[in-house]
Amino acid sequence: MTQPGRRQEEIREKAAEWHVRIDSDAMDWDGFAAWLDADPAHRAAYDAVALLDAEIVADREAIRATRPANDATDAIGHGAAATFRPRRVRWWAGGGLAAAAGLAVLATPHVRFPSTAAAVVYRTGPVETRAIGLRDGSRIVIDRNSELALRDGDSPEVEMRGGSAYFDIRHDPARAMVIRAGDYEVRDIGTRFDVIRTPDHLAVAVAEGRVTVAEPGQEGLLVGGGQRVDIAGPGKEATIRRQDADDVASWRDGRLVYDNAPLALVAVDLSRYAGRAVSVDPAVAGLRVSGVLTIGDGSRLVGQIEALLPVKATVEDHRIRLVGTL
Amino acid sequence: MLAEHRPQLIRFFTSRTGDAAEAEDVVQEIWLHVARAGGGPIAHPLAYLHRVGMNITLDRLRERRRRERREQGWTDATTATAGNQAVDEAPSPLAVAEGRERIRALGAAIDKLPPGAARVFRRHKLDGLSHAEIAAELGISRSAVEKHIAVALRHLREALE
Repeated sequence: MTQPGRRQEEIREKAAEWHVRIDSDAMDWDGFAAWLDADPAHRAAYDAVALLDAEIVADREAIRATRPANDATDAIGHGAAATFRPRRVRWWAGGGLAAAAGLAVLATPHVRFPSTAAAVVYRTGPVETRAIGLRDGSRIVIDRNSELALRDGDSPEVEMRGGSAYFDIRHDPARAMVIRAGDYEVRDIGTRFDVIRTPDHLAVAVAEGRVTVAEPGQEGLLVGGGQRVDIAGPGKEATIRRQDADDVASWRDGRLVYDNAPLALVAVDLSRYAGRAVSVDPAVAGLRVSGVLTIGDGSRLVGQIEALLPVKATVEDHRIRLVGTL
Repeated sequence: MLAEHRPQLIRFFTSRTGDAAEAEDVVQEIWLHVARAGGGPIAHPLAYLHRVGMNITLDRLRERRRRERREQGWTDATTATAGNQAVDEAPSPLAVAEGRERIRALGAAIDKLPPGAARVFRRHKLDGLSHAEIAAELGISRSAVEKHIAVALRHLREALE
C-alpha cells in the first residue's frame, strides 16, 4: 500500500472510532473538535462515515431482507427483488388485506405502551409551521392549519388531528413511536415521513426508512422510502404510489412539489392551506399536476392551479370546488 | 441550560461543520429542540446538547447532499397512466435498479466483514441492540463493542468506494 493510502486508512479508522463514541456520556468532545480542526480531510472522512452509518440504519430492513436471498440460489429476479416491483394494492378497511404479489405485510403488535407524559396539543395557523423536538432527538414539523397532540413519554405517542406533519424519527428500539390518525395507526422504526389527515383522507409519504400503516390490532401496509399511501373514499381503499423522496413534506420550504400527482390529491393540500374545503369535480379529479407551487399565505394556491390546468374554482358556502373549463 | 453552554457549543459545531455561520444555525436548532422537548432532567446535559446538535448537523448535511444531487440534473422519469385515483406510478426502472443495487452492495459488504466485527455490527445496526446489550450478549466489554463497530465502518467505507 502506498503511503497516502495508509494515511487515508488511518483517518477513516479514527473517524469511525470517534463516531461510535458519540452516544457515550464519556465522549471527549473537545478531543473530537481538535481532531476535526487538525486537517480538513478529517471532517470529510467523518462526514462520509456518519452518512454511511445513517444510510445503513435507514435501510436496515431492506438490507436484512437481502440476506436470505444471498444464501439462496435464485438471488436475481426472485425473492427480495420482487418487493421492489411496482404494484397496485387494494386494501379495504373492514376486509383485511388483499395484496398483490410482493406486498410485504407486518403484524402490528397489540401492545399499548404505558404513557407517563401529559399530552400537549400543538395547533398552527394559516401562515406558520412549527418544529417540535422530542426528548430522544426526533423531530416533528407541523404544517400550516394543522393540529396534533403529543405525549412525549417513554414511547412517544402522537394523535394526528388534522392537517399535515413531518416526522423525523431517531431509531431507538426502546422508544417506538406510534401516530394515531382516525381509524389508523402509523408505526415506524427510525425514519422520515409526512402524515396528512383530513376528515376523509389519510396519506403517509415516506422519505426514508419504512413505516407500517394499520388499523389497531390489524395487519397493515408496509410503506417504504420513496412511496406514498393514500387511504380514502367510501371503501377506504389504499393506493400506494411512487413519491420522490426529496419532495416529501416540501411544504417545509414553503413549496409544494408535484410530479404527476392526481388533482384530487393536490386538493387535499389546497384545503389545508386555503383553510376551507377544496373539492374536485370527478370529471377532472384525474388530471395530473406537475410543478412547483408557492404556498405563501395560502390564498393564491388555487389561482396557481387554475393557471396550470384547464380548471376553474367556484365558491359556494365558503367551499371551493374545482371544475373543468374544457 | 443552553446559555451557559452556548460558547462551547458554537466552538464545537464550528469545528464539526468548518463554518461559523453554520454552527450558529445548528446551535439555534439545538435551542429550539431543547425548548420544545421540555421533558425530564437530563443526566449529562452537555453530552446531550452535543448529541442533539450532531443529529441536526447530519440532517443538514444529508439535505444538502440531496439538493446537490438534484441540482446536478438527477431526474427520475415516471410512467404515468391516466385514469382514476387508484392508478400507480411506478418508479423508473433506473431508480429501482440503482436502489436495489445499493442495498445489495451494502448487504454484501456487511457479509464480508471480519467475523467478530460483522456479528457486532449486525446486532447493533440491523437488529437494533444497544452497545450494552451486545456487550452482555457476547460477554465482551463495551469498548470492545465500540472497536468492532469502528472496524466494521472503516471496512464498509473501503468496500463501498
